[in-house]
Amino acid sequence: MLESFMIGFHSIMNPQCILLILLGIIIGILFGSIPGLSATMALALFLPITYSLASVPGVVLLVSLYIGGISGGLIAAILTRIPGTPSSVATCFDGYPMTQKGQGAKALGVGIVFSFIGTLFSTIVLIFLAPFLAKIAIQFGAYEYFAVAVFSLSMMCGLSGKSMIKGLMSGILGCIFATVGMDSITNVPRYTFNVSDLASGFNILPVLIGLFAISEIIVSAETAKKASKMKVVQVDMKHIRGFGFSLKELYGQCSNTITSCLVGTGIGILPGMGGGVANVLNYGIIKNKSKYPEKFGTGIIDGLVASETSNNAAIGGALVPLLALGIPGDTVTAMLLGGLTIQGISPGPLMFTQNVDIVYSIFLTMIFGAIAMLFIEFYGLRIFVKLLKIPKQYLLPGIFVFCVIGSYGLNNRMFDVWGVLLFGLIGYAFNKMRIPSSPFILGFIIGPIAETNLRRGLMFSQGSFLPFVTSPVADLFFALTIFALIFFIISNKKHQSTRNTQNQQSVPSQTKDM
Amino acid sequence: MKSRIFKHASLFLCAAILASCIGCSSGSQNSGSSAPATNNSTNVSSETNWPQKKLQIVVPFSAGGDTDFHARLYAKYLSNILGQNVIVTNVNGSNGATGSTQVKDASPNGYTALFFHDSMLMNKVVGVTDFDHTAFDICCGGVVDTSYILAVNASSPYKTLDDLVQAAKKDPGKITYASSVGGYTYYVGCLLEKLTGISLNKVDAGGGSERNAALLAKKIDTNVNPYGVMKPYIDSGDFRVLCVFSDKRSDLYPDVPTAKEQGYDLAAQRVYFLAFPKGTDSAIIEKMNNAMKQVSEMPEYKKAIEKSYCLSPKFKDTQDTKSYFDKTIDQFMSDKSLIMGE
Repeated sequence: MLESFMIGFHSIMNPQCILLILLGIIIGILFGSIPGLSATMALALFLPITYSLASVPGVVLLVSLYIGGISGGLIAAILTRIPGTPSSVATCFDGYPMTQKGQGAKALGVGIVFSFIGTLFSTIVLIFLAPFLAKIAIQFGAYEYFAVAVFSLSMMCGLSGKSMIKGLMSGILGCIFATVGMDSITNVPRYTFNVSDLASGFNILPVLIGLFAISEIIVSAETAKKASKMKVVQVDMKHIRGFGFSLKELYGQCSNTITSCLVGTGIGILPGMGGGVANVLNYGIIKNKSKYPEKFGTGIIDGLVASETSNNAAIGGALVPLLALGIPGDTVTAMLLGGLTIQGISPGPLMFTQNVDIVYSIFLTMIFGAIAMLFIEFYGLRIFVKLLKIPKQYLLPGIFVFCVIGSYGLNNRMFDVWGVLLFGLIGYAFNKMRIPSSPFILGFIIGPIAETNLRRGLMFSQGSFLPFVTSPVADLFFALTIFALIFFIISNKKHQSTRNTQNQQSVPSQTKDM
Repeated sequence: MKSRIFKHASLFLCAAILASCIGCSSGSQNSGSSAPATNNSTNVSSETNWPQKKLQIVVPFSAGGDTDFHARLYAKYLSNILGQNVIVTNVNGSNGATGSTQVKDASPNGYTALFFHDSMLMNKVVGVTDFDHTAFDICCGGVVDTSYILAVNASSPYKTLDDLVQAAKKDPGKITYASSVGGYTYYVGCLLEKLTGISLNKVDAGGGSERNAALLAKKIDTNVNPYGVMKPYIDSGDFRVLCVFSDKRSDLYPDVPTAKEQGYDLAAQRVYFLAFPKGTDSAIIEKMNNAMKQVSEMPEYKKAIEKSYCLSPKFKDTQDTKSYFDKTIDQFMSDKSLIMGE
């Protein structure tokens, strides 16, 4: 192992690779932080460039872009409540309220440090346990995936905010919109109305930036005339030292961090899930576990830690099946796989013995990349908060432009641009009707996973539902689902009764919808 | 004062990123146009001054797959030969139908082309689209993949194709065969059933790499895919290859017997082709055909596809490719009931 590390060290310790790591991290952070652009896009743009590089530098660049891109998402999420990537949806929940309270810098500091911890943890897991974990991951067949998907769907309740009915409405709508296009098993067109563009369905990125970014822009535009309502968020930088939070607060997050690391890495290992599911799912879990779930969403660092630790931990997780089995979990890892293939490297069981230099270069890139990210974002923190000083009439149109460019650039067709605008209007309507948007995203991502695996499972069993309940792993997740649902119902009842008593005392409820 | 500097700095930053984004999609045009004259000496019989600007090849799948790989490999060498940049654009969706439609409806000026394979015909057969290769001006077939193999887990009792067929005969519908419904490998499974009179449990287990995992975990019994997709597991000894569905053995893996040798006359292949929108100047098509032929004969090209996909270079010219697809669509159509699952 030490020898392998030396080989990896030897491969990347040259000016070219170090420069590529720094470049990759910085560009990744920029792409992640700008709503509309994403880690996926950063990799898509730079993939052709790596073809002309040697294999190690090429892979180093792609991995750095990946890490930077996932982490960069926290900046926009915290400062503007617009998640830059699907991985940072849950970061908005507590990050933005902190910004509103004037704690933007502290929120960024927490996000950055826990991104680092998440990346580092999952890298260590990847280094020591990859072949072992890959063996476990392949035991997850259609039955088990379906159970995990059902469990994830139950987290919709946790994201619903005040009204569970509205949350579930949003989640179901997400599932329904995800069915547009050809179905995943038999290619039957659904809700396409003979429009060929609709046949490929809606992409997650236009849905995400439409619901969160465009709707936010419309809402701001609406309030622009009433200038008094556009209050400028103040961030006090004078008293911010280091990352803006105390060691005591760090210790307080210990068990939270461990859970988040485990959930993030675990979800990351399952192909098809990834950071987009991990952050939302883990937010729900941490909220459940917490002694004060009612405070989540009001701007406490627990929520931020839950989201940022788990989404970065999913990176190392996602690389487990990629390197050990050659299975890409999402679009980003699919591009990484493409980058490796074009270099003549085929990830799989022999990867760890035949391509030691590549594998350990990736490990070391992740470690150095995480450290570089910590430093760059630490110094960048002071610049990021200044973004808030840009008047919204300049900032938001800029974001709007990027949203349109980003959605077009993703698949090179105008349809996705119209998609962004459509989901912007839906998001705006949701906002007016106080329907939360995050269950929609969860439904949109998980719905198809549940459907595909249910149908695959039924194909395997030739129509019998029995194997779904005889699989012990599936049973575990079904049990967790029931447990979670009972918990949600009880806490919802409690919440309602406290609200009723509050109303009787004519004290207006202060809790904000997420 | 200080905040104003920051404001300007951040606005500048935004502008810079915007510029670089646009630059990535169109900037290459400039870099290419600076040196076109030098390379125009390519020996082309008919006179055309095409290409005058960058050429876009649409791959109807996302970046990182096999189609993308083959297109980009060609694009890399074509840029030099044609003296203009050749850009690969990914338009993913509907099993390739979205990107195909985009090119079909594009202007036939020779600057937009499609890189696709037999699935275009399959899409018509299963009703995903209402057009086939005849809606385009076919240029040539750049890659011919005859490496479809049938593999089982190394711990499985089946040593030859015959073992498998006999076992399936004994226990109809018990052996699971992974493929995507309406996809090419599903069709191969149907042909195998028809040829041998067996019945397989054809299940969906995702794409190539997901199927590898499923076979590794013994969730499925058999898997048909190109050799390159399963190569890592064959090399590691996890999978055993029972046959290759090809007319003759490959030089790259001469130990693998063909299905024909074992008494089952079944061959499968996939041709990756380049096509222009209908109405493109024939001189352009001829020039592109020659340029791609030139690439397919390059030793660097040979080395790259051998290493990444275990394929030997094979080239089909315009006429060859057309007649291949004419024949294929007829065959697909006559097997339509088979493909649609009765």
